[in-house]
Amino acid sequence: MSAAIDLNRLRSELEKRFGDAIRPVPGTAPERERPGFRTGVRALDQLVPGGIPRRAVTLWTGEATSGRTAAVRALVEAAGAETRVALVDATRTLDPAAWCGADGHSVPGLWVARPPTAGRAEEGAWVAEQLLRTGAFGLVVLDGPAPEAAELHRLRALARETDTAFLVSAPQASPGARADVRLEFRRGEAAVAGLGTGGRFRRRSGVRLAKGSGGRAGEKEMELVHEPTHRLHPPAFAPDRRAAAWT
Amino acid sequence: MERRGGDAAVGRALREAALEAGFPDAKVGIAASCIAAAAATRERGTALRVVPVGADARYLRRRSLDILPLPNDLRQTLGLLGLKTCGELAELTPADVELRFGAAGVAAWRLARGEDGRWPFRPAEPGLPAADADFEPPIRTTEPLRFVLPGLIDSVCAELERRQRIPARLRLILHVETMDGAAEDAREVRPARATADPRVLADLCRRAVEERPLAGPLVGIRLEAPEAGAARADQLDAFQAPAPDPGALHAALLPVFARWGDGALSGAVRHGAHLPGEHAAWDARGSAGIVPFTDFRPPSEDAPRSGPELGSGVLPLCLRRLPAPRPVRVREGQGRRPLAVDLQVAQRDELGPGETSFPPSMWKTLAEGPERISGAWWEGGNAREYWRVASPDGWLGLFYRDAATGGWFLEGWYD
Repeated sequence: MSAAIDLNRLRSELEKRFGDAIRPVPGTAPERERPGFRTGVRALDQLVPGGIPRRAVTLWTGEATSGRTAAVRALVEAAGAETRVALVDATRTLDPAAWCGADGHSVPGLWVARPPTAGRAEEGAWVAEQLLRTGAFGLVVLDGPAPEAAELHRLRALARETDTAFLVSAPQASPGARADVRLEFRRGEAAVAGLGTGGRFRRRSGVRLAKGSGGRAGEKEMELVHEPTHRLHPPAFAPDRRAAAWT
Repeated sequence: MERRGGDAAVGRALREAALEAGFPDAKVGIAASCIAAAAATRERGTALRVVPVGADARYLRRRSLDILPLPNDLRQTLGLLGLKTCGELAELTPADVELRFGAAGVAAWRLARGEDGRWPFRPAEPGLPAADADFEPPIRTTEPLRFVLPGLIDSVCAELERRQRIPARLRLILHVETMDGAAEDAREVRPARATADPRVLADLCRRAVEERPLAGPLVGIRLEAPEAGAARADQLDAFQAPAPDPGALHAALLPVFARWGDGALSGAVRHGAHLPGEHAAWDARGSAGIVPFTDFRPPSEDAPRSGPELGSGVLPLCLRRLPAPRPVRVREGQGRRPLAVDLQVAQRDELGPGETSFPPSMWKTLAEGPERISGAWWEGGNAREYWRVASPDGWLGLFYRDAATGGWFLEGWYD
């Protein structure tokens, strides 16, 4: 048995017992590539089986009501179980209700950065850069306008340096910007049920892998739903007496 | 001591307490000075030694110089000169000791004679640890403070260190000359947790000074530490996954806090009000949220990752709320149902760079509602009819009609 295989066996035994606490001194042993973050959304996990990769820039673009923000929330929720996550809400438009857990608070390992006033979305890339630079996060998400090509180049270098997954979620890509993985969200042609009684909404949305390695080409569909649960909060023991329809 | 049965009785009680606590080799030494008591605990063959009052120098005379806390070079020099016991050092004349060995030699000579001013447990000194600096002539910019502040911080930290404390809150008092005479401008500095890191404190102080301009020329500055915390040296646990250091994280993100304020670290909190804008809020935690963030350990950080399971095919939409509701034009039908909506092109730019993904002006709608919400009478009251409005190509927005004015507003959209 070669020394390399011995070392791998020893490392896996140590990791099994002590997790990430046992790490070789940087530069003394080859780094094992850590897997990316899966979203828990079937269409996305089929398109990018390895998840949102570390040490790379992933770009999600898409129009309003295409489910891009919902996918970001799913990703943050899934990744929050594995690592600390930073989310830059550059446009100050994320509604906090969607980010609260069952206890009424966002998870303690989620760091959300928001500008003090609207109209400062362009500073989001700079804040994401500072967060990446700390190396304290496994995943950094920039929700807002996509950074310029030069900024994105610098952000990719930082993600690679700090072994962080960096995701940009923007309505559209900036000219000349290059990402390692790129997904495009769009509203689906056919409605499942559209807008229904009580404000319930169901519609299909399409996701296409525009760029990426190891992923599957083509487009996948996912179903977007909206249940207006926040309008009233009937306790569990009481029936929901909302009217079937208002006229 | 006498009330408790004398030195020997206290010593025996201390020894018994140490044995009960699980220290079988504990030794007790009682003397009038720290150095003699420390020497007494090192005496072989006895677990309890009481040095009579006034006999410290005599007791130390035959003890080795090893019991004295000396600099290595001084210890080596004394050894080369053949001095082995405290008595041999104590017999030298102080003038010779000072001439040959300097201040360190005199301090050692005093200890060898049983003259020890140190306290085993020193009570807190009265008064706030503080440091001052005066400027003559007065300075008009804060730039020179970059060079003055580190010195003041060092002085305050050194003073606190003597009390085994580190700064938890600092107060900067700027003495300025105004048209009405001298005035004081106090500014608070509070790190994420008590820290003695001079870089973090200097950055925070500099930020506090530059927060707002001076009211006049600066004639002096005073740095106080009104609140101190216990100095902690966290034991590193080799079996815990590495976590970010709060002080280092705070220092690294100081520029972000400086630019975006406390909102640079926010968390979502659900309040449960009915209005979408009040149902939940982003709580700006600022630097106070750093320690809870670093203390958090992701639940499955060490757990083996699950296999390639495919997730759900259904995704709940998230609301994106505009920073402030935007007025829109709506053509109403029966029961004030919105039949067509115009987001008003001139204002669509304010929705962000993705305005092209919003529906074109005046489109026919599918609308569900109204959801009537009223309340907040103590703040002037509000009465709104909320509608969920979908465009034919699948865009879903949240609108409301203000009952008081009859105006329509876009609250946000779902994505």
